[in-house]
Amino acid sequence: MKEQTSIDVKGLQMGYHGNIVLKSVDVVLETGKIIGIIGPNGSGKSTFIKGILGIVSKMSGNVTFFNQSLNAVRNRIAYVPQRESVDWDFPISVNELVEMGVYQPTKWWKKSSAADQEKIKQAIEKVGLTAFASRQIGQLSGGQQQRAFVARALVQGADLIIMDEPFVGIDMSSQEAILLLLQELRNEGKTILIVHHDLATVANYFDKVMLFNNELVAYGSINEVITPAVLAPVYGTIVDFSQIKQHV
Amino acid sequence: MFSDPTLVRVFLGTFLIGLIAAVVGFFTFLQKKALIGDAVSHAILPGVILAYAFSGVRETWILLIGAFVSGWLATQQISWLERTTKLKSDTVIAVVMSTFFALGLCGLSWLQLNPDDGQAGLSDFLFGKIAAISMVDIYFLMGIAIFILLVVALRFRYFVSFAFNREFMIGKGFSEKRNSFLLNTMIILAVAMGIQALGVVLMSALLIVPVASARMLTNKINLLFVVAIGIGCFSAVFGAYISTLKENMPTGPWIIMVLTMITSFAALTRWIVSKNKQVKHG
Repeated sequence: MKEQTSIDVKGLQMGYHGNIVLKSVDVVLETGKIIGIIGPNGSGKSTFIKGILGIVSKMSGNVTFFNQSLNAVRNRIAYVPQRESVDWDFPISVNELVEMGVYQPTKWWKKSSAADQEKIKQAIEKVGLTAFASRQIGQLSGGQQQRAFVARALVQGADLIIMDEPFVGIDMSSQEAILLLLQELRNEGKTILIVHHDLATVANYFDKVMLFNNELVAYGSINEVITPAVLAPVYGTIVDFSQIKQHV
Repeated sequence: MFSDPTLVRVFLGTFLIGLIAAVVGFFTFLQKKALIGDAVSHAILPGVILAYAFSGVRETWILLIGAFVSGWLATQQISWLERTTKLKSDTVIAVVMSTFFALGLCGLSWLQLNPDDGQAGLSDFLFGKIAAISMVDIYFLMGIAIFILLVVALRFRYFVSFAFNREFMIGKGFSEKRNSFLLNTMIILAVAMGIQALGVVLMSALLIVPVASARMLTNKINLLFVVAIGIGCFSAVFGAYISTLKENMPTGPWIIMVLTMITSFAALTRWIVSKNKQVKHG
């Protein structure tokens, strides 16, 4: 991949009804990494994601993706929503969910082509859901549901995949299956941004970490950020550092 | 039976109304806006009455214009209130719906003061009177059905995807405004034509009940669409048929009775299927 920078954030400030939720954030994220976004509840993790993607309007600041504006590269960015915000009873199958990835506003009158169908098939195979392709999405396990959304991101051809709490309510073995898939994608040069709340698994899951506490407290490698000196002011004494270190 | 032109019109009319109501209802159901049909059918009343009061004739296209204007005002007001207040969708719909309906009822009683009009069948808008359907109405229904089916044929996937994952579609660059404008137009047209048969009060049932029953029978989106249309058309025609068996039987309520029977059947089927599954897995 040509670009070195996936997201460049300058002075991003977020808030609701005049209250500042996220103080001016400046950060440059590189490509080809799995980056974790951590911080206590209400520290502005999801707000950061929604702000850079324009889902919630920002108070001030400027964000570019791959050195271009959001609108210019929308198709290269995929957002996987929080599980609880998805209507799992909705009557669509894995296949139909993944197919959304090929939709394009400029070609809305066209049926998806044979090439598109092949892309959809391959993506579903890559995330290991071929046997479940015609299942209604509510009849999948939590881990399979996340993988179905990742397949949609793949079909879309996304180079940047942003996931909001993908590991919540998912058992360890499924978490690892998703992680293996994400690592494979990273090795292909894709950038993956993950909002995460479980400190115990941070060291195993991410290449780099952003730590939020209503502002960006730290951004760096695991060794730089997951240390008592950095975490204690944010989390207080509730963190069991021995448990975290054990993973490092 | 089909030698009677009135009956032919009634069956053709109810078939078309059942069809467009089920198609439109399918999408409002997916959007979780089941109440919007109710809101629109009530909100149409003042527009219809104003159109009649100004033109003095009961011509379908004039009444449709009135219906369209007030239906459109109501849907705009609903989405505006949802955006600007913190009120939930059902609250906003209840407020807007009752306001417009009250306006309509005031207009209706005002028309009654004028003895020349004798209301010219306008009170039928409240409870519906399919026997009054004219050949012109049928042509309008055919035109609207063709329009709606054409829009749906072109945009089915996008309507469904917007209902499922709005942010994703906006992120892809699809226009939410265009999406809701098309859907609202379809709802208003379907309801404006449908209330002639079912009346303001029962119209929303014909929108929502077919797809709700079908949902109990299938998980598959395409099948859901087809089954909902089947249920809608069958109930509309069969209900209308029953209402012709005796003098002075109302059409709308009979259509709803047939719908209710189908819903009970669907619920029973689902219950039996889930029981069987439990036995298998247990």
